[in-house]
Amino acid sequence: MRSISYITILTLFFTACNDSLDIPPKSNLELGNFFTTSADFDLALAGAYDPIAVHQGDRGFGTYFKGLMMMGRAGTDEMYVNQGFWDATGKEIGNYTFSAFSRIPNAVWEQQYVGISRCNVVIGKIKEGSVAMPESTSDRILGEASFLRGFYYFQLARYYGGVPIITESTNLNEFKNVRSTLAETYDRVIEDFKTAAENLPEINEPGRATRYAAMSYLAKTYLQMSGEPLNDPSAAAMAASYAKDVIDNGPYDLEPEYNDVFNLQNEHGVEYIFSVEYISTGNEGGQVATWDGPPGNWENTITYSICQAMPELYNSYNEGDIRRDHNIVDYIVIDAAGNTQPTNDGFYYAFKWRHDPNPDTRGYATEWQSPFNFPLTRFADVLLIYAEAQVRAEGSPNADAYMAINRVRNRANLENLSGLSSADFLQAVLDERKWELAYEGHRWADLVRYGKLIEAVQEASLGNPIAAGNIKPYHVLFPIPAREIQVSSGALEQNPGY
Amino acid sequence: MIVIDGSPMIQTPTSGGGNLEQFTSQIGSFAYINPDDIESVEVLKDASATAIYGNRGANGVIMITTKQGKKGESGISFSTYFGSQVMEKRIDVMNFSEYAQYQQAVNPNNRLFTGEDGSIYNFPDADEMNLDWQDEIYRRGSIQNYSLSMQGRNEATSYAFSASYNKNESVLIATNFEKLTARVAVDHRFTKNVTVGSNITYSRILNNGVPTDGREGTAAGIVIGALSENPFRMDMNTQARFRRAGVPQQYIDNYVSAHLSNPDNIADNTQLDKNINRVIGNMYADISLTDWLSFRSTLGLDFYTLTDQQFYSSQTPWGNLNNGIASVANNNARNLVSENYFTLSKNFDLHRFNLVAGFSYQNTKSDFHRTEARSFQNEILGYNSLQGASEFLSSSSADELVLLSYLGRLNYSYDERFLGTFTFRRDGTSRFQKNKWGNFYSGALAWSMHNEEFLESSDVISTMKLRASIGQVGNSSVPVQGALLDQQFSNYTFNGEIVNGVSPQNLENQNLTWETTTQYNFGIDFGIINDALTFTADYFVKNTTDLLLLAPVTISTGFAQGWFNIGEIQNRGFEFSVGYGYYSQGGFGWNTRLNLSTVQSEIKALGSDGEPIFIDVNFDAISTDEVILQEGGAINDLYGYLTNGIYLPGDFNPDGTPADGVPTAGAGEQPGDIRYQDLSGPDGSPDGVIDGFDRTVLGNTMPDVYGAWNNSFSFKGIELDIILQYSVGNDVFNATNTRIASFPGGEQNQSADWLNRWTPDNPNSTQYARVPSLRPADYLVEDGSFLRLQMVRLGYSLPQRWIAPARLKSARIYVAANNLAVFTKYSGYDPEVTSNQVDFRYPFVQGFDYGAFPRAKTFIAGLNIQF
Repeated sequence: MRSISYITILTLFFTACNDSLDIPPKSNLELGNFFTTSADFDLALAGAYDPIAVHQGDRGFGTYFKGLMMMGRAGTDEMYVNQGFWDATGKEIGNYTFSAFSRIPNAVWEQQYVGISRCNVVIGKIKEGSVAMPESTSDRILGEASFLRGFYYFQLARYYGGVPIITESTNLNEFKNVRSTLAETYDRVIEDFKTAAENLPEINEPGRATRYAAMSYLAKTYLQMSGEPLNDPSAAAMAASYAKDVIDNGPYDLEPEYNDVFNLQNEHGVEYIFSVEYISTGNEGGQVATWDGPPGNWENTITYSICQAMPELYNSYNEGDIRRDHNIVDYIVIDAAGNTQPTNDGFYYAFKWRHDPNPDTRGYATEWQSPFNFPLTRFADVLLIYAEAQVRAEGSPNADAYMAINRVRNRANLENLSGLSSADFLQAVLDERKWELAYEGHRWADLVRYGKLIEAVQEASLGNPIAAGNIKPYHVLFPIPAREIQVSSGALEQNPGY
Repeated sequence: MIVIDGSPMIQTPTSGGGNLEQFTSQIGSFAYINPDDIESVEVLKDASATAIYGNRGANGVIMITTKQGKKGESGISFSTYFGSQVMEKRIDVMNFSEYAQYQQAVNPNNRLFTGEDGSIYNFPDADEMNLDWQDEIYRRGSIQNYSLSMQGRNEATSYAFSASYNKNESVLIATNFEKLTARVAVDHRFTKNVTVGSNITYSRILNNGVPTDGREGTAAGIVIGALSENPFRMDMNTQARFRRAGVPQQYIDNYVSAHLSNPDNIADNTQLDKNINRVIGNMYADISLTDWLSFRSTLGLDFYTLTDQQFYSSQTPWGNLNNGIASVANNNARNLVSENYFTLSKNFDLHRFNLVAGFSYQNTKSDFHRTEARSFQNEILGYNSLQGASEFLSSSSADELVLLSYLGRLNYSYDERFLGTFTFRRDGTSRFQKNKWGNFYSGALAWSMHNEEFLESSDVISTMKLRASIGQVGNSSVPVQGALLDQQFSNYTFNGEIVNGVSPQNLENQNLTWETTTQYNFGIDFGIINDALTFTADYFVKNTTDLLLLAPVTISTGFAQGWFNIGEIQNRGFEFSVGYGYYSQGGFGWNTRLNLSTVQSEIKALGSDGEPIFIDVNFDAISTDEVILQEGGAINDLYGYLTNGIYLPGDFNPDGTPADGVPTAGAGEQPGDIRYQDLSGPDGSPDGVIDGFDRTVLGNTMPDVYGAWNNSFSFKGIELDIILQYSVGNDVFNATNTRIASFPGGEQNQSADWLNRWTPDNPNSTQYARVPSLRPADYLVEDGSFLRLQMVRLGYSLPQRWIAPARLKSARIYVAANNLAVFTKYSGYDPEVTSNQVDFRYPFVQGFDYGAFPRAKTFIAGLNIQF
């Protein structure tokens, strides 16, 4: 009898305490409990912008915080990485000693895909349409996410070539990790920018993409497609038509004074179309104005002088071009009043963006919290895109093309151009881009588009003899990260030469 | 895992993280226990024994039983010891005059040593200006410990109380440790059938520290900082001496205003204060239901609170970057374990059966909160006045984990000769999504041959036992994000304002499940002459399948890694132990025991396609991976480049470029630079370029053979104990040398090896002059084999006739020295390193020395008395 009662207790015991093992995470948001309101979409969208700018941990090697301050700018005839810089990752870019194992090309590849995956989540969810919101909001969200995805694929296409394409409708379990062709990749970019242009509003919160920003990027993308290596014959005309639309109908104009363009107060001024946003607090700061510059003192200039100006660029400016002395200097700032002293050492420094030399009025202290935005495209860029695209499309410059380039030149105090052959005109546009858009991340892609990267770097042997000696024809593409090739078990093909 | 009186102790974080704190030493689990409360320690290694603890015991279980007052006599005991600690080992870095030579040769822009016109300064009183910062940061430490306990019992009740206090001023400046423990244990037998007991331990730890490991530049820790700091202190006297040598005042002033990285400056101006409170309680009830059935229920509670306060004043490099930065973090954990078992015992003749069945429920809750504040107007109050700052960043998180297990174990023995055990467990965890449950089996057999008829009467053979066991254990240790997709905060800025962003943080894996380790053990215990000579040998093979691994995936998914159950690892090895005890009639005794263990690991399978996994042990100086896990390799294989000497003038053309056929890394190599070997290229053969294809396995940090040799000598009341510890074949990655032996030409002080470098005037030297391109390479991997004199202790138990008048039951005095000597070829401070730069996701990665907290020699004298 007693045994039976004990056995009963035994069995009751085992069934009693079957606590649930389903515990929702307490401080991590699951995909399941997210995307329930339109505010959630905006949170996710902010996260999708984040990979352009972020510096947290080592991610900065792949964003405009650090990595893209060198990739795209150094290793050209406008800029090189100071040979005394202690961090080899930057010098590799400037000197063309990088390989498939190098940090910056790896990090840039990684951050673009981080951005793409975040955009895919937003685009997928907004297309599901399961959350009620006004149509203008859902259009804006779709437009911004598509713009960003197009932007990330554009970066991949112009730096690496054709790449694996993943969209919101890709089933990860069936995903084939192989490279699409360059044309297919550009098609993806165009489609995303077109979706953006259709859905974005004309005016948006400063820092967000707008319809005309999407159209500017359509023009930019088509222009890049029309040059090396794709040489798409119909792309130039599309570039010209989009650029013209922005010029004629967009809310942009040139800032009257060139020097004013780069003031901190003007960062959302009439000339700016789309920039990488930074402010000086809360880990959202950048290194624009800090990374370049003359040799610094921590009180006044707060500059690292890591990327320096090529003497060839300085010497190539025409006499009287006011841009030269704003963009490049050969002096250092010695006090809070901004007084300067020549360095007399034959070196030139990129000083396009300048911190307020007076620490009392400046308003921010720490050097990796620079509030300067990095301009990705501005109105002067679009004017020059139009000028180039029109000539590539139609074979000879028309009046509108001349007007576009001359607007830029006049602001720089240069006289008008006229009566040039198409080859000379194209060269003039390339030079004008070099002088106007110096250090804004366009030079490398411009030289590649014109097929002149190798030649330009080899000729700039005074400023950077190491790069001049090292650069090879295969350097028109950056290497795919070696670990990606490994993880794909060889299905992913490396770019030639690496 | 540590089990105290049957309740497992949870692993708790001992740091609030953030700033440089993530790099400092962790406090081990043993810190919470007062050693004088320990009655016995047992180590369980084979899977059958650990099966009762399931997955938490996967790496072995240390079972601690505390004094309950049941055994031994009633009484009061008091023990104390005190002593000092020293850290005498020094690494040979350049002194002042050597450093001056170095700066003049490689850094002519340093205006303290070379004038603007290129002429060098002379320092006749270089010896007075010299300062070895290692002497500044290491001091004589002190240690003191007091412990009082009482225990007693009567018919039905037994009790034990104890309290202890320990204070240690570390050999490292500004580092102190204080611990207070108090304990109460009571057992009471209510009726003949019911016994209950409970004990509670409270411990409180205060730890003030300084950043030790750290990275470089603004994140420097003082251990490496002391080596790389300029070998002089720019005080008034030194300034005068620089002036006398001809250095303009302006450069001296520049140095003073910009130079913050003095290690003692960092130590004085940084506060790292930790305050830990922990309460561990156990209650049990043992009920005898019938003479063959009993029930035991235990409840364990573990409450843990950590307060971690940090302040870096703007006088320190890190604080300067942030205008003063403070961080206050709180970490709370509460663990509850309830175990309930029925035990059936039945004997039939010589057959004995014992069945245990029951379940265990464990619930761990933790929460964490940290606030960082920067930009202080006034720094005097440090972290006690966060409102004085102007920028804040707060974060918090919480977690809960539930483990539920059902267990059945059957023990069978026949005539004390054959013993068998069979265990079945079913474990469930809340960590996984779909596959929460796992089933694990284990069994063991033993044959006590010494109880067999043919051996029982033997005078010679006293013990002979053969053992075999096989067991399975599961592991589910992944972070919350392993199986679940969560979001992280990823902010951006619009219109000049920060906007919160949220993004997926990880690749989710809904199919994640238990990792299973199956372990086979074969052992023999052998003893002769009444166990005067004993011998134990064990052979084990441990196969881990469905290894939980953070494996690389293509970044096209947006993530670089994900948790998967892939991979298979095998560990196998031998353990031997020989012991001998000898006692003479005259009262002399000698007891000795020698242990020897070997372990070999092999990675049998990795990933779905077998791609190798690279692990970057995260110090700044090298940004490539140092450890490789690959099929056919071992755990913790070090991976990098081979060197073959140095570049010589003949390797270069007259214009300085490398000659044809001389492979370089394109880093501006010149004669005297270290030379890496070109092993391979994109198509598998040497290509003249030094890059990632030229890497290979450099060594392994696991030892081939290791163990200890203990000796105890006793004569009348005197006892001498000597413990030696050894390890052979373990490699150490000397990452400190990446900072002090690269000779990059900056201001950082470097190893004195530079003086012997190759130059055109010293052409026979093989010492490299410079490492132009820093990579993990064989010159950084050193043999860490060592023999350590871990303890020497001489004690004397006062004879009864002396102490009886004072009513003492026993009194013992002793002197001891710990870590008295280490014999090793390793050039760093100590070959046994657990530097904290390792990634928590790969806990088996060890053996990296990057400013690891050095071990001290300790000399103590102590007294134990019992009333």
